[in-house]
Amino acid sequence: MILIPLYIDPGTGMILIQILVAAFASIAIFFKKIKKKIKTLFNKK
Amino acid sequence: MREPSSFRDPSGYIFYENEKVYRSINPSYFDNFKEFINSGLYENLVSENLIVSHEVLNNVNKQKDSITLEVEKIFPITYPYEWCFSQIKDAALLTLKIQKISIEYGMILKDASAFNIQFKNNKPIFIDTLSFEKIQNDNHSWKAYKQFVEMFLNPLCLMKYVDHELNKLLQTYINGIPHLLTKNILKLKHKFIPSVFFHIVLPTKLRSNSSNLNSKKEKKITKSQQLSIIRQLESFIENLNSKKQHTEWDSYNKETLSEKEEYVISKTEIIEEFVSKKKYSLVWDIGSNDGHFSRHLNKITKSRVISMDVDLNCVERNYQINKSRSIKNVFPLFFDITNPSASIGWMNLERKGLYSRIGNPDLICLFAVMHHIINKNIPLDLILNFTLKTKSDLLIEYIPLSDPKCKIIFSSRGNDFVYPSQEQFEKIALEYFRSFKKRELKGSDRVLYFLKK
Repeated sequence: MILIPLYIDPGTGMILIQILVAAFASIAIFFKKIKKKIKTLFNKK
Repeated sequence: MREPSSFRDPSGYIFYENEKVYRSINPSYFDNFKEFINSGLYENLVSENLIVSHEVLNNVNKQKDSITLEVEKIFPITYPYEWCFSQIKDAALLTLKIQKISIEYGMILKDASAFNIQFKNNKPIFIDTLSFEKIQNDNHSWKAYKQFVEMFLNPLCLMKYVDHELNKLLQTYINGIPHLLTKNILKLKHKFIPSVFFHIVLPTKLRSNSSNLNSKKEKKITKSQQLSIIRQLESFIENLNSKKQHTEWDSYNKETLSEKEEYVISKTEIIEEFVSKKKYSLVWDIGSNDGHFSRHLNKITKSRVISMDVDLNCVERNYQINKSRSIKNVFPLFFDITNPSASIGWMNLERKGLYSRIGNPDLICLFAVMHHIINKNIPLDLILNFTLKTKSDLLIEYIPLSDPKCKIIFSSRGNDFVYPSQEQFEKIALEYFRSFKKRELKGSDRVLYFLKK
């Protein structure tokens, strides 16, 4: 059964999640950039 | 007449007059609207064809009870549960693009509903002018983040990882597929995909402790944090491709085109003979597969074609072909003739039934589809009754029971099943239409009929 939470403001309730997601996103983007750089270096050689 | 679905937003509403679309803006949204215009955000979005254009009918700077805009009309209006994977994906990416541009102008999207996106010339376009609000106190938190995930990311992940038909859940959950339901449907291995975990699984875990969430209420999201979220979502969605799912119709058209070259050439020529001198404004091609004949019809009649099929893989391929060839006036759409999208939502008026959104065609085409509809136990009489939705003409392919495909479909039918003979077909057709022309399709037993009302 799915309980739909009725006592959470859909906007403010998601701030903590957005902070966590932003941290994850920054790390993900950081690694993606490194991966891209390595790839271009590899391609140059 | 006020648009029945336009009640959720306190900032204003849509109304219609003389077939034109207007938007009335309430005073509570005046500040945000002025910022939207004066900051140059609107101009930027319109110049890139990302948002519908509008004309202000009364002076923005004079304080009045409301501001009225005449808004660009979009046709046809379609809903996310009628889109294929790539259409939903493109709509999601457009929302993120607009959000990213808006942040640079000091504004943010307060809504991220998939119903705010429509398609114009096979490209997504944002239709809600009142979705933008000023960023307050440098807090870049996105109120519509959850809505975005539930409206776009959850359907895309379900379509990608489980079954592409799951976009239809948006018909039941018109405000987005809930996180918990999505999490419960996804398999364990998918929950470990970092983006799935952070955007879909994590919120369901944190939600169980709501007091924990509320204590963090004062926290702010910085601009760079919000941009990271948007960029990460963009990158994840861009790399999501539709699930490779085998369906009955996957290679049908390819097979048909190669194996039955004679039949296809003959059909193409006969269609041209029937309609080349005609000027149609709107054509419905029902059972269009990947849109091969829809594009042919568009080319010879210069009409807009709504190219509908019940198979999502076909709609997907149709959309991809039109996109790659920059075809503007052939619109691929999911459509089940035996169960078209109904009116749903608040008072059953909020999201309209399909037939009220896709216009009045002056030509309906039913190519190689009659036997499939009969197979759903819809009598021929009712099929022809349906085709009366055309203002003037009908192109219908008669497929006899001796056809190899018919033999497969109806092989297990009992003695009480009666398939209409060609004579019966003509007799019933003349009950609904004034006259017809017919041509036999070479390389088959099939006959193409052109009926006039």
